[in-house]
Order: sequence, then structure tokens, then C-alpha cells
Amino acid sequence: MIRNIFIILAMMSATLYGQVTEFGSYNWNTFPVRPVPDSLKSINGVLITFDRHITEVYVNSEDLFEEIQVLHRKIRVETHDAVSANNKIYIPVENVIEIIAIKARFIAPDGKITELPKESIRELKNLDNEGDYRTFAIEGAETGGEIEYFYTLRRKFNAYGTVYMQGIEPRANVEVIFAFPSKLEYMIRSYNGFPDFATTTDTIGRTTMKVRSAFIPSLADEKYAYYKACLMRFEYTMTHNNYISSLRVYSWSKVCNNLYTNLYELTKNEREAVKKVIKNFHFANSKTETQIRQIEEWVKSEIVIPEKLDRTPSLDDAIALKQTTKTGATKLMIALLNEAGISFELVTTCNQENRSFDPGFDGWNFLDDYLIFFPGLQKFMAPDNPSFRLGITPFNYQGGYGLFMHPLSYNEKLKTLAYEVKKIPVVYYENNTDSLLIQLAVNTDQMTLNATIHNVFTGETAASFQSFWRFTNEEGRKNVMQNVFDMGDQNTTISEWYVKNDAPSQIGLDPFIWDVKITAHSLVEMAGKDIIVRIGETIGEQSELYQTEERKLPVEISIITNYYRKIDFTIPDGFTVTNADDLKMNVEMLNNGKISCCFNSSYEMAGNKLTVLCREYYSELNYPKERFEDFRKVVNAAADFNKKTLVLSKNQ
Amino acid sequence: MKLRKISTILIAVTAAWYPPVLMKCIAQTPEDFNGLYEKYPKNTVICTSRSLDVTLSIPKDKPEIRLNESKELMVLADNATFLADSKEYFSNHYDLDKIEAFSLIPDGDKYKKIKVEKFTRTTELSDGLFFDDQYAYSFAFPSVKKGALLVTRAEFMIRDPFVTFSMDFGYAIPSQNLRITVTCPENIDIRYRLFGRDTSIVSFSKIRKGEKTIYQWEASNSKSYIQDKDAPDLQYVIPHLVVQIADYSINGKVSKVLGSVDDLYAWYYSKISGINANPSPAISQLTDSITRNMSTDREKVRTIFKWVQKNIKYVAIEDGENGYVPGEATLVLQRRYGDCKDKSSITVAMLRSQGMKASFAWVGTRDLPYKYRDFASAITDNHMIAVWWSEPDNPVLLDGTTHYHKMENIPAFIQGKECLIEKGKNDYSIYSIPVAPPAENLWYDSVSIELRNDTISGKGHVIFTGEQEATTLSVFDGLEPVKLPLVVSQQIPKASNKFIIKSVQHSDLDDIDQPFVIDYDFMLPDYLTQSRDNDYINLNLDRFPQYPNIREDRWMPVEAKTTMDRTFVCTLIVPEGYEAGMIPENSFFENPKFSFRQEYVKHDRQIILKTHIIINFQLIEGDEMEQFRIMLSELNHNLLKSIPLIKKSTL
Repeated sequence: MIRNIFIILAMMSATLYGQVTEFGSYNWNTFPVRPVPDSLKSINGVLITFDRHITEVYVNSEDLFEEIQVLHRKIRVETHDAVSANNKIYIPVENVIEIIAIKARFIAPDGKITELPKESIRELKNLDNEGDYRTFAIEGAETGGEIEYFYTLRRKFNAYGTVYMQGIEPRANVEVIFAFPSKLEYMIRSYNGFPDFATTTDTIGRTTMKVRSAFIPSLADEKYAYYKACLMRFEYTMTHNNYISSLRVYSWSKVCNNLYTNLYELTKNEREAVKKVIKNFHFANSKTETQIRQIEEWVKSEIVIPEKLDRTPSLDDAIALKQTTKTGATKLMIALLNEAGISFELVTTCNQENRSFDPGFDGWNFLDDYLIFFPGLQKFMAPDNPSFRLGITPFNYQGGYGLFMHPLSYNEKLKTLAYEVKKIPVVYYENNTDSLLIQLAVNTDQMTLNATIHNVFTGETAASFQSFWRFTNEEGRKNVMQNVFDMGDQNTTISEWYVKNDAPSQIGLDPFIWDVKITAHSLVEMAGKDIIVRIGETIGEQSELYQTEERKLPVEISIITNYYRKIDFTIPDGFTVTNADDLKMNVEMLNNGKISCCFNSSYEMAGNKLTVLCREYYSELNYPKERFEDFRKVVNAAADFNKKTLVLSKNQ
Repeated sequence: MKLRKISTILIAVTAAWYPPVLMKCIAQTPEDFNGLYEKYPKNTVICTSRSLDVTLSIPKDKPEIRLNESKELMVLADNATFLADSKEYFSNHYDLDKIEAFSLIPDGDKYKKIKVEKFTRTTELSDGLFFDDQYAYSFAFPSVKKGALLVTRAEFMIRDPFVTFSMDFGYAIPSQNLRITVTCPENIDIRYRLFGRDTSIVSFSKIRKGEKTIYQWEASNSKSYIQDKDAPDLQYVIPHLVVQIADYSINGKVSKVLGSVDDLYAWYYSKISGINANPSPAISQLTDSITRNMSTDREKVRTIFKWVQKNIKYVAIEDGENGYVPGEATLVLQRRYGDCKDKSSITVAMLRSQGMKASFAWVGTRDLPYKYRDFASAITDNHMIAVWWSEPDNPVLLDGTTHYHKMENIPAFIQGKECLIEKGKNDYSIYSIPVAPPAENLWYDSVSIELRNDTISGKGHVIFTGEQEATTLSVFDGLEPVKLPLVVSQQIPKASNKFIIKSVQHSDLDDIDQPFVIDYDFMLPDYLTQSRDNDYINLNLDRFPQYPNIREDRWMPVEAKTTMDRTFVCTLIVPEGYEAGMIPENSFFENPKFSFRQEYVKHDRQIILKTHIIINFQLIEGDEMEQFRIMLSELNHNLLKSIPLIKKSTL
């Protein structure tokens, strides 16, 4: 990604002044530790009583930026689980030049201190391919005491980043210190209620940005929420490096220059390889959209993006070996589109589930992922994700901001990208449909329910199946269907099934269609001479929000979907339905006078046919937590429909 | 809980579709494989061959085991680019000499070979481990497309003659040609055995070639083995061969390795004989202080066991020799953490400090299909416990890695297994761990309900003992009070998920010697069915969700994690203005290994349903599984019976 490519630039730009660090010799007593008021309570037996993060940027003897990183934490553990969950510490040391100190100790309730012997610290080399770690287990730990540790690392310089400051554990005495030479300037912004930083500059040319919070409450995950995006955090970026110039660094316009160089400019070999690929497509007079789909299909079906590739190969190598990185796939897509003469904009943005793009923060922090936007078609493409195709904007980017870029030429030599920060539109909910047509008949001898089902998915809901269906074996497919068509207590037999439009190339183009015949074994009940049919469960188990706890997080729906269900039920001879009016439901949530989401159901009776119609849709991506109760009612309406039964009274 | 194990040879199954693997493909042409598309129309990838060639030799003073492994996968579908990412696992007992991988891409009537250029070594942490010396090589196959063969080859050496090696004759994907050869000189004897079901697919041959004997096992067209629900570990069913060195001789002098239980015990004993050699004052002081006022040994043992459960935190470390050797009790005491061996070590030391007889014991958890008496091997066990000899022939097993089991309750994950108990240098015993009778694992849930308008409300009282208690306590311990209603609704779910818990009270979580009891008030809105004339209520609020729907064509055995005695009692008070209609008939199903009995009783205005289910097996298959399927089907049928409540006005 963009993240790691250009760090080298900043490293090269520092000049001359070697400095001595302030925090390199950090120890237990560098700062006094403040006691925690008794009023603060643990959650799940854990209370972080002290949490200090220090980053100190300095210029090393080779005139390169480096940083000292200190993390000092003290954790009160009040239960067995709390000890077990917190007594194993893993310290990532990827990009660490020198481990200056790792210290840990346990302070028992009676004040006895057990220090961690140095030899208990173990090395884990390239753990799960995420770099080296140091690890240790706290010695002498018992319920009611405090785990305390700090580490001081000399690290490679990072010009920008994100630091989350909140979690399920409540934290007291939280402190963040950012120190750097005054010739550098930083922008730091706090989010979700984390306090703002204050800046001081001393007389020896050092600037310190600092924030302190006496208490950060626990925040737990909830259903229908982007938990991580709601956590207190801060974003930082270097903005000026006055050692070399007074111009902005790490800005959007800078990234445009870099992206142009890295993603648009090709070597001679690359250009030739790309030309050859395009030639083989025989576009002739096909429509632009067809051409784009053809290019996309080729890249996504031919070129592999292995997880473990750590270097992006040149395009000619990627084409020859059929593998590249995510960045490489984006570059290849850009090169092929350019070669085909198709106009597009490159978009960089970030996953809304983790944090939302701040359009007022001119830095590289939010430029994690690439999209390609085709203004002529008003459609997006995720160039490096084989689970999507043109026309599907993955839900986790919708509604967020992105940096939209297109090439700009000053002259033959000076080329760059022009940018604009814009919102990535929310896809209309009717593009994501889930239509379920069921024909139901009771077998009164076996007391089973036989169902013939026609299920049609479109848009992103279809993509979620089309992306993997063909690559799954028979067993896997059966498992998926058992889940999708589960009618009650997992006691359902699928006798026939047929699937249409299951190829990844049909994503965003054709609906994914299932025709299935099933027998439900636990939906028909004897009740004296009468029969009860649990008709509500035939639409599959619906998500529920029955338990009531105070809502803390805003509501996020992820894929906004339009559900339509039609059940044709044949009433068996000799019986009468005596509670059909129960099927009528209507729960709506209004926003600005319009229906924002709803669940309703109704029925029609004609002879021995009972037809039930359900409509449920969610047209907006998110709601503030104040609207949770209204939203909950709609979600629970669908879950309540699951409980609907038909009473078939035996005719006298 | 995991004892250091060398166990099976490299390469674990990384994902459902990708088994360990390799081959003889170079000479073949794409045409040779054409038939596979028709033969496996529903598979994206199959294993066309895998071979393991093992050569034993004695270069100097002890045997060496050289292994050549080769595997070959064939891609049968377009766009199966996800197959590119690959990973091979190794234990530190293997010195890897060489690893190579390449794709063979169809190119006319030949294959084009493209090599993997880069292998990345990574450290792998197995589930639940804090530290692990297992490592892996990750790499990406180039040009993965339909018809491509993905080939991996590895050569490695085992220098420890006690290491057992094995070969599976079946994987998650179908496999074609599977072979292991063991080339053995005259002065090495091997011991081997086939495990799993379907072992008849494996053919064996033995030929002499000069002074060497070549053993060969082969299988072809092995089906895919995919874990089923409620099934034992796949090692119970996958046909696989385990091989180890029994003994070897140099200049006529025979050295025993792993030819018998005696050999295994002698080797194991050497790992523990030096542990806690000198009595530790720290251990004695601690034990004295916690058992000071106790008069019986049993009381003392209970106290010591609980102290270890509570105060020594479980931290699992796999690191070379640490895998076999327990830590010194004093070190464990100082650290206050340890794995199963460390917990056993401190338990044994504490017991001995009080003059009681105590032993170390090795045991395999139930996911291992091996027994010492059948085939004594380093893969037979993976766990260690402590033993207190209450009487000379009566071992009391103490598994300090448990946290919520009382002393008398042996955890279900080792029940039915053998344990090898140390009794001195040349003395041991093999003890068959009993399976707990169902009555020791109670789940007794009794509710009384009434109708308020159209909503059911009620009070429940549930009792757990044994394994049921341990499982439930682990969920409740340390829980924030605000989470109690949600957790209760998840732990004792009812027929409707609209199961609203109004209040909860439970017994003391720390008192594991007593049954765990929960009292709860609840509501079940929308559960009652109402029609024009009648209301209907199904008293089967407990739906016994375990073992749903055993398919008629199932061949995989069914495993019960624990035996169980489960009772559900529901008492309904028929509301004023209603008369109860037809009450469902009583029913039962009897089998020594599983049964149910359902009774309805009417008492004045009360209707009482009592359902009693007993699960009294660990593993069933064949006819017994069929009977179990029939029982579940009958039970399911009986759960689907409602009682009409007739409004008096309509009578």
C-alpha cells in the first residue's frame, strides 16, 4: 500500500543535526505514577491503572530520522480470567533497530514485587509472517494484584499513523507524549472524544505535543456497529520538515506525485507486456463497460495476489508469473485501462469499519485501499479484490470520503495527478435484493413441511455467494445451503438444488439464483386434533435485538438490503386456518418523514391457498444511537415474524 | 494441557481444501490427467500423488531417519487462484535440508515448469500456546490455473531415534496415489501399525534388496475426509500408518528404542527422574500452611489440588526439551504459571511434602486414537497429570490444568483413555480411566410457567453437576452482572429465542464441590399460539439442541463429549377460564447407551411434563448410530406436540 512505500523519502531528507534522546533511558521512575481513585471499577476484572505512550523523533548520527517508542502500562487483575487474559505479553519488534529495555513485574496485593528475569523473555521469529516478537509471561501473578511492564524500542521512523486509545478495559491515567525537533511540525487530531493535544516548545529546539486523560471508559462491541471506528483514537502526521524546506510534506498533493510515479509510469518492458495483453482482447467496437469488464476479469482470474508476497514485481514479471501484490494488481489494472484508452479516476480511501476518512485531515493516514471510479458509468471497481466486480462498491467504503485522482500534465516531463476529496456514494438499497419465493405444503402423515424455494440475490448480496461458490467443494456448498435454508432447529433436509449465475464474472451483472426443494422436519406440531404450522420459520432465522442494554454505539447496517418474501401455502383438505390475521405486521422507522427501514407482512386467502407477503428493507447505512430503539423495533419485527404460526383447525 | 510431542510428520492441514502433500509427474503429460475432470467434477483441486520415502541408517553411533517427501496437487477449476498461497509446517525435531516447489503449467502436450523463488520462514503458534517451536515455510505457487500441477518436495532428517513418523492415506480432498516406503538396514528393527477406519485400502509389501529390507504401503483413490459435526477427531477415521524404531544394534550390542511399553516408560522415566530430587522448603512451608488444620489425607489432597488449580495459571510452552521435562516445583511456585507438566510437578511435590504417595502420569487426550497397550509410542499421549495413591491400588487422578472440576471429577477429555503412571525406575502401571456415569453429569432444569394475557412467564431452577457444572462455571466466572441475563439465555436456551430473563440468582462460583444452581425468572413473549377459539402451548421449552439431524447416509461415528443425564420439567398452571384439551401421550426409547422418557401428568389445574434424556456413550457408529438417529427422530417428533387450551366460553 501507499503506507510503506515512501517512508524512505522522509528518512533521506533529514540533515546534519545529531541529537541526544530524552526518553531513551526511560525507567520505572522517569515519571511518578499517580494512584487510581477507588471509585474506578474494573470491567471483566481488568482495570488499566496507568497507560503511557511516548514517541520521540530524533536525528541519528547518520542524519536519518529515528524514533524512541515507550509503552508503559499497569494492569489491575481482579479475577482468574483477568490474570489469564493479561499475563502473556507479546511485543512486536518489526522495524525495531534496537531493543533498549523490556521490563516487567508483578505487584501482589500485599505489596510483594516479583521482577521478570531477563532470561524469561523469548524471541519469536517472524510470527505468522508479521515480523519478530518478544514475548514473556508475567511471573508471580495472582488475583488482586497488578501487572506492570514497559518497553523502550529504537525504531525506524514512521511519518504518520493511527493510535487507538480505548478498548473493553477501562483505562486510568492515560498519557501520550509526542516529542520531536522543533524544525519538524506535526499535525495530531483526536477522535471520538479523546482529548486534544497541547503543544509546547522549549529553548533547546524541542517540541512536545502532549495529552492526558484521567479516565477512558470501557467500550464494548455491539451488534450492528463498527466498533473499532467508534474507539477513541488519534491520527498523527508530519506536516513540515524545515531541515530541508518550508513546504508541506505528506500532503494529498504530495501523494499524488508519488502515486503517479509508482502506479502510472511504466518501464519499456512493462509497456510492451501490457500492450500484448490488450491486443489479445480484440475489443473491436465493444462498449466501454464491456471492455472494462473484460480487462477486470482477466486480471482477477489470471493474476494471483498471494498473501505472502512481500515485494511488488514489475508488471511484465507479474504478467509472466501470474502473481503480484495488491498494489501490483492496481497498477496493472491502471496500465491496462490506460492502454485501452478508458478514462477513470483512481480513488484511495479506508475501511469504514475501522475508521472514517476525515476530509479535513490533509495527510496519508486514510489512504489505505484503492478503488477505481468510472465517471462515464458512475460505477466503482475494487481493482485488487477478486471477490468484487465493476458496479459493486464494497459496503465498507460506501458513505465515506475518498481521494479522487486523475492525471494532469503540465508538460511532457512534469506529470502528476489532480485530486479532489469527495464522498463515495451509498449504493441504492434496491440494488441489493434478497427475494424468497416459497411454495409450502404440509404432509399430515409425516408431519413435515415440504417447500419449493426460488431465491434470487442481486448486487453485493449476490456477490457474497458468486465470489466463492465455484471454488467450494460439494460438502462446503451443502453446508452453506443448510445455513441459508435452515427451517427450524437445523432439522431440514435438502432433496434437490440448482444454482444459476454462480461465476465470479457474473458479479454485478447477473442475479444469483437458487432453486431448492426441502423438507422441514420440525415445523409441524400436533395440537390435539389440530395442527400448528410454524410458518414464520420458513423464511430462515432472522437476526434479533431482544436483549435490552443501553445502546452505546451508532447503528451501522453494512450492506443495506431489500428483502421480499412470498409464501404460497396450500391448506390441507379438512382443515381451516383460524388465526391468519396474526400474520399482519407493519413496523416502520421514519427519517425526515420518509420510511427509512421497515418490516411489514400481509396475507391473502383464495380457496385453499394462503399467500403471505413480507417486505423488509433498510435504505440508509447508519443511524445515530438515539435512533436505536426505532431501528431495533424493525429488526425485531422480522425476528417476531419467525414466531408466527398457522393454526389448522380440524373441520367439524 | 499440551505435552511436548513429536507426533506426526510435518505438514498439517492448512485449510479444508488443502491437505499435506507430492509425485512423479515430470514424465507425464497434460493428456494423462484429462480423465480427472470427469472423475472429480465437483472438486476444485485433488491430490494426484503424495509419497514419503524414509531411509534408516546408522552412520555413527545411533540411527538417523532421512525423509524425502513429495506431493502433487492438480487444479481442476478455472480461477482457483486461492490455491496459490501455500504453507508447509515443521517441528524443530526435523532438520530441513531442502525444500522446493514449482508449478507445472500445461503447454501444448508438455508441461512448463515455473519454480517458486521465495520461501518465507515463519514461527507458528498452535491454538492456545503461549510459545511454540513449530515453524513453517510460506510460499506462493506461480501461474495457478486449470490443469496446473502444484508440486512440493522436501528433504529432511530426524536425528533422534525416538521420533515417530507417520503417513496419512486420506485428506480433506480426494487423493489418487499415496505411498510410503521405509528402507531399513539389517541392524535396525522397526515397529509399525495402521490406525483409522478403511485401512483395507492400504496394501503392504516387503522386499529384501541386498542387506536392506524395503517396506512399502500404498493406497489409491482415497476419498475425502472432512470433519463432521459431533464426530471424533479425524485421526480416528483416516487410515494412517505410524512407524518407529524398535531397536538397533551396533557390533552385536542391541539398544532398545520404542519396541514396547517398557521401552517407552524407560525413556519417559529418564525425563522425570531428576525432577524435584531434593525436598523444597518453600513447597513444604506453603503446603503446611494451607493444610494445617486438616485431619484426613483426602481433605489435604483436595486443598492442594484446588490451590494448584487456582494459583498456578495455565501457560502452555512448546520449546524443545521443555516438551518432555516438567519444571522444578520451586520454579513453578515462583513463577505461578506452568503447563500440564509443571502443574503435575508442583502437585506431586506438594503431596509428597505431606508424606503422601504421589506419581507423575502420562495420558493422551481423547482426540488421540491411540492406546499404550495397542502401540506404545511417543504419539500415544500429549498430556500429563498427577496421581495421588489413596490406597496402593487406587490412583486418584489430579489434572491441575482444569479449573472448575472438583477432585473426584476426572475431566471428560481424558475419560476412557489409558494413563501410564510412574511408580519408580522399572515400575509403572497402565490405568484405564473410567468413563463417568451419566448421573455424575447432571443437567436438571425445572420451570413452572403461567399465562398472563398472551405471554408466558415463569420461574426456572437449574442444577448442574460434573462436566456440565465445569462448563457452565467457566462461562459464569468473572462475568459482569449486567451480562448475566444474556448469558443465562444462551446457556439454557429455550424453544424461542425471544427468551427474556428478568432476574438471575446463582450459587457460589468458587464452591466447585457443590452443584451449581441457577434460579431465573423469565418471559416468553409470542410463544403462545392463539387462534379464534383456542390457545395452544407446547410445554417442551427445552429442545435438547445437541445432535440435530444425523443424516441417514452418515458414515462418520458420532462422539459425545461427555455422558449426560438431562431432565427438563415444565409445570403449567392452566389459567382460569380455560380447560386443557388433549394431552400428548407418554413415550420412551430405551438403549443401554442412550434413552429418553417423556411423561405428562395432570394434577387438578396443573399439567406437568417431564423429559429425561440419558447419553451414556463416548463413541457410536454403525447400528448403534442408526438407533441413535431413530431415537433423536422420535424425540424430535415428540417435542412437536402442543396442548390446546380451550376457552370455556367455547365449550
